[in-house]
Amino acid sequence: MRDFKLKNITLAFVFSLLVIMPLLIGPTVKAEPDPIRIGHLGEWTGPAGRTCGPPGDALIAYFHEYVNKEKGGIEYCDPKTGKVLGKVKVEVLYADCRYELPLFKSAFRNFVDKGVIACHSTSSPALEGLKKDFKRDKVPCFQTSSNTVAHWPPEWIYGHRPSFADDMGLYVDWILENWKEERPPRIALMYYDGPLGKSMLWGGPQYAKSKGCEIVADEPIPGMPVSTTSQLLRVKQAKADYIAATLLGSQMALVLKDMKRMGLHIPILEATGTDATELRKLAGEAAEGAYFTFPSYDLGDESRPAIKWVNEHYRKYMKGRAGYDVINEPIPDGVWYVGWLIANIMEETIRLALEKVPPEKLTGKKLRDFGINRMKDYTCNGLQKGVTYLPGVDHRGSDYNIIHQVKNLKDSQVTDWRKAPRLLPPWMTKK
Amino acid sequence: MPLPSGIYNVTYKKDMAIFRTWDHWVWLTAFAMFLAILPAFASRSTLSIFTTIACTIIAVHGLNLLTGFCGQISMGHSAFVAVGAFTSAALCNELDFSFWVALPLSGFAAGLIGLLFGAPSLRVKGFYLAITTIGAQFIIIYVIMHLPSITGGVRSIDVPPPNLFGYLIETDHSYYYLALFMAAIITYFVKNITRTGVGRAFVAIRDNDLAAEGMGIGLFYYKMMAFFFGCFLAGISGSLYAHYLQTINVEYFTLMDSIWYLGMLIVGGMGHMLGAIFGTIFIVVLRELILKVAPLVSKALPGLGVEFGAAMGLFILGLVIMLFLVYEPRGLAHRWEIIKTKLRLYPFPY
Repeated sequence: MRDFKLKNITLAFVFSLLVIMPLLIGPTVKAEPDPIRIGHLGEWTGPAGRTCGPPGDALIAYFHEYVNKEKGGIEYCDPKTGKVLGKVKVEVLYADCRYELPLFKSAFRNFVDKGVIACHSTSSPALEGLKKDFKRDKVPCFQTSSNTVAHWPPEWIYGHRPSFADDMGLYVDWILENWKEERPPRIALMYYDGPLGKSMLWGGPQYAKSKGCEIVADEPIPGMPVSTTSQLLRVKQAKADYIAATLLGSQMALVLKDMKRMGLHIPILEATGTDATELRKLAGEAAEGAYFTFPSYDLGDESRPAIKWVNEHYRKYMKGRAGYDVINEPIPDGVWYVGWLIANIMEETIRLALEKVPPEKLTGKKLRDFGINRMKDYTCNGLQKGVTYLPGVDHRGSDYNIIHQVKNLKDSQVTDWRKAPRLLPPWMTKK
Repeated sequence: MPLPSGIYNVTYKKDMAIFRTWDHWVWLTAFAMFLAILPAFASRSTLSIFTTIACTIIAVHGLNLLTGFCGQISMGHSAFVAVGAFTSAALCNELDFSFWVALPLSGFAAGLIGLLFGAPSLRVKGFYLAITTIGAQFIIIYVIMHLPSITGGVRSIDVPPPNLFGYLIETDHSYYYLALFMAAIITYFVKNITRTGVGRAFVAIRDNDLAAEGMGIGLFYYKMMAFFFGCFLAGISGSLYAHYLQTINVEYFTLMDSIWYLGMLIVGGMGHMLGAIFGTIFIVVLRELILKVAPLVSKALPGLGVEFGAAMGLFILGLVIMLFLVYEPRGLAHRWEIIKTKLRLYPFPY
């Protein structure tokens, strides 16, 4: 009987302890939330691997090294009080889709199955081919390219710079500002005979004509040209004052070399996001004097804190990586830079969304509603003039760009940030 | 087809049956049931792979008829797929045709264009015909790019999803069934072509065209027929795939795709019905596996960068085709026949 009592008392004591202990310990430390997942529809091999690989490297380095390791993650808040509760890490899922739509589609499906809240791509097949998928699955996709078809009508694709057609408009405004002669300026068009090159034509020449410029030559360049002499001869015969070009790097190099060989000194205005490093690497001395638009200050000007910030991280994270020689080439290529830039914009949209939504409840739609749609005049640590998304109206992110020139085979900034005209493609203006 | 011991063809009907034994029917039913219930437990990415396989099998069946059975090499098959895709898009967008009408018309359009590029096959063969069909690849894509009023030019154009009595077939689940159904119908169609006099004429031309002509087979007629059927199926595949993607662009139909179609046929086995199926499944699944494994390789070896994993993928794909050419030139279909015969005779050696 006594044993029975003792047993009961012991059991009651243990039971009471079990009930009271959690109350005595106080609130438990909340485990770190699961990482937020984003997807990179990448290309390291395939025809666009050289251009599309570095942005992917930059994006992965930005989130895995800079955000997760250096910063410890992105802060998230209590939506009601705004009090910071902790940090959440970001995992980048990626795939090498080799410019093949079936692989992009499959990779995107896989990302969605794994719960990504946003995607990124530099590739036209991904951006154009998956446009409806982004919309259907409510996953915003950021682009480092400036694909006009992807941008208009504005749905679930977001950019960071004006389109190639807008860039032509920007050049036209700049030409007219500096034009001294009585006659109108004569502009020749040279573009890659493919989607990327022709995107300049969706609004660019029309804008030039509306401003009084003459379009005196229209010269498509095939994908893999052997020579561009015949096209350049026609440009010369047309007495063009400027050549507006949207060419791939290899095509641009050939045009520049042919121009040098022919002794043709017409200013060439490139608008496909190339930069001085790429032009110098591809065309050598022939690159001298070429103009290009690039959404950044001179990447070699480390007196600017923002540029220094990018370059230091480039050297830190890319050191020893295959394909990167940061000792001899301490300044990143333009394509790597834009990957870092878009990653910074993506981080900011996630941070904004986490002010309103807890990380475990963050979805693509909520990222759009509480992050992307709230982004206004974001300067990317001083890298940009200001990124703003106008929901359903304009998802390019920025109207501003900078005109640069290759001088002494180095980047030389010709203008400061200039506002490009917003040129809508024909399918947006047709009733 | 070799039959199990004790099974004989005692009637013409039995002789002509595709599935001869109960075992065949049991396996077929089990396989069909597996495919039917797959969407219940498979992820969307898995269904997307199956849909891609089904659409691709149709195009590779076409190439198999043309190259595998009739011996007329084609290096421009992707362009004929493009003809089907853009015809279907134009018919649905510009003329408001239903998908069900546009689908066969796309096949016919591709078939007719195929006749045009097949005409030189009477005069040229082998490498020379390969060059001619490479020409088709470039000419067709050039024409598509420069007919913006019909094809959209270089711009991507939207393609509406198929509509079945008011129900839109636009999800991965619903399109999976449509693509699978079409692949099954086309496989049956191709199987029957190969068993008819036409199929035998194709094989005769492939094996020795002079002997075939001597036997009274009209070379031009049958070669043209092979081009028509081959390109017709490419067109059907293009239309089906375009409506699945709901967006098309000339950049989706490249020379590399044409080479991949040939690669699938080499791996699967040319001139064998199962070759097109095995080859397509093998290459598509391998590509998907590489897509998923390459990032893991890069993670395991971070110093080598992402490019290493990506390049490894291409290396493996190339190596597989080389190994097949060296060690199993008759493809997976032949290997499958050997395995089946071995199992049939087990435990006796084959």
